[in-house]
Amino acid sequence: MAEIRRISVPKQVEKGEIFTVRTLARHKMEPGVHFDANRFVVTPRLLLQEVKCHYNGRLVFYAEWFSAVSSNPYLTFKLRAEESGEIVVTWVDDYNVITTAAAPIDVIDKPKS
Amino acid sequence: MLNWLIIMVLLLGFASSAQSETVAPYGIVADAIPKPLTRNPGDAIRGRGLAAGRRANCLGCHRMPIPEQPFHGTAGPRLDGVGSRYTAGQLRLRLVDPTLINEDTLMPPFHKVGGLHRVAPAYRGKAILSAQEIEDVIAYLLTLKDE
Amino acid sequence: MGPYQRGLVLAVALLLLPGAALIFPASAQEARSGYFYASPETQALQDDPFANPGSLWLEEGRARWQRIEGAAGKSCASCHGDNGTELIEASAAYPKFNKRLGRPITLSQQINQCRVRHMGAAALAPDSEALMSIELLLRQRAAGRPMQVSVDGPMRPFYERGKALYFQRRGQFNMACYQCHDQRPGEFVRGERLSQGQINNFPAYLIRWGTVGSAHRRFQLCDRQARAEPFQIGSPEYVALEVYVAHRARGLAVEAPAVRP
Repeated sequence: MAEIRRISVPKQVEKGEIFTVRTLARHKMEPGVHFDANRFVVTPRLLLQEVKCHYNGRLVFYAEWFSAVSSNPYLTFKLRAEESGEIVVTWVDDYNVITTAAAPIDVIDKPKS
Repeated sequence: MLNWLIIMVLLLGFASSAQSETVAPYGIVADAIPKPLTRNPGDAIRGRGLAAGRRANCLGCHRMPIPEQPFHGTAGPRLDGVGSRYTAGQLRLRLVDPTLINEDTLMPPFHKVGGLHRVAPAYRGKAILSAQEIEDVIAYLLTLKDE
Repeated sequence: MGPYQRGLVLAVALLLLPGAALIFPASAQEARSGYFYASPETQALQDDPFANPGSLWLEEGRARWQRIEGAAGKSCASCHGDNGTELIEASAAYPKFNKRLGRPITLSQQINQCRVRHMGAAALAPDSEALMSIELLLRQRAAGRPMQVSVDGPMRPFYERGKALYFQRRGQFNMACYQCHDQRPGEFVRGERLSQGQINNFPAYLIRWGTVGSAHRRFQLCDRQARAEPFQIGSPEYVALEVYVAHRARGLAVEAPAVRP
């Protein structure tokens, strides 16, 4: 399966603003619980176990995933804008294979009103 | 090894005897099968379990007074009060082979093995419900009286 | 039971089952995409271009479109251009009659014909991710166009065969397609809402599969639910059924990438 990882963040946000990070990973999320007539596993377990988000290198979001997470998992969470830079989301599977998706973010000062 | 073989043969023998289950004989009078299919009377409690269960899956199409089960189907009529509308014999014919009274019905024939097309191998030669199970479901349906 | 008895029984049954006569056939209904019958959550997932999981297959399809494969050193784009513009009309018109083979073929089968005959590449497995990616891309380019399968001339016998299958009862549950999809769309079978069974949206991402699959794979699921032995994907039976069902959907807009339960 072609590995596809997607991330979406607003291009520009105001300092202090809460914004949404959206992610989508193409993955079977195979729980490995299907057995054949001889009780052998049909397809071995292969899950994305961890999702991490770094904002300019600092860990700001972390999730542990288990077998009940759907295939092609969509994950969204909120962050507070502090400074311009890069949002990097990392997925780690059962075999410690790491995939990432990154997006730049431009944080501007609140206009004085 | 030999022990395992014997067990396997026994298991296979058991499985094939379940497969070769046949349909009980019945006679139709007007729109009913008046005589029960078995000597043992039907058990309404077992019948309720069958109606709510996956194998007979009455809830797949019918709304029934089985509140602990969610998502009752709407493809068929409600069965509340069905015991007041039909006799045991009428219910029996409708369960055994409802196409005999309505050629266009969506309802499966619950006690029929012949005259079906492309039945999946796992179900070939097997009726959906045994004669006793039909009687159990009838016993349960007869408890669903109008208030 | 003799015909007289049978008639009598039927008459009694009709008196006893007035509800049966109240079910209208679909011919009296407007053709509606399965989108109409999907839950608001499923509709929202389809409508969101970022989250729509089918769009992952499109992304793969766009890459595969440009990928050179096979002895002839060609990609899809080598013959059909980057946008495959000339294929837009055709993508809404499958299954189409193939003169060389003397029978209609599906869009999946046409893609494999191209690969084997023109690219010198191996055929892709039925319903494989690779094949579904390319087919979904073609259908997405035709999105919004009306379904327009032809059932004239040499297509006629295949249409008739498909129609017969549509109305034929199958399986231990003794069910025919029309009973759910012409007579009862909108009703529930346990938690599942019946649709008209239109195929303007295939190949589609089905949440239950977690993948994009063909109309034939969906037909198999229906057959299994009736406890019938399914036909093979790409079999003459399902191609004929697809001809009938695609013609039944004529005029409905091609929908891709669609998401269904």
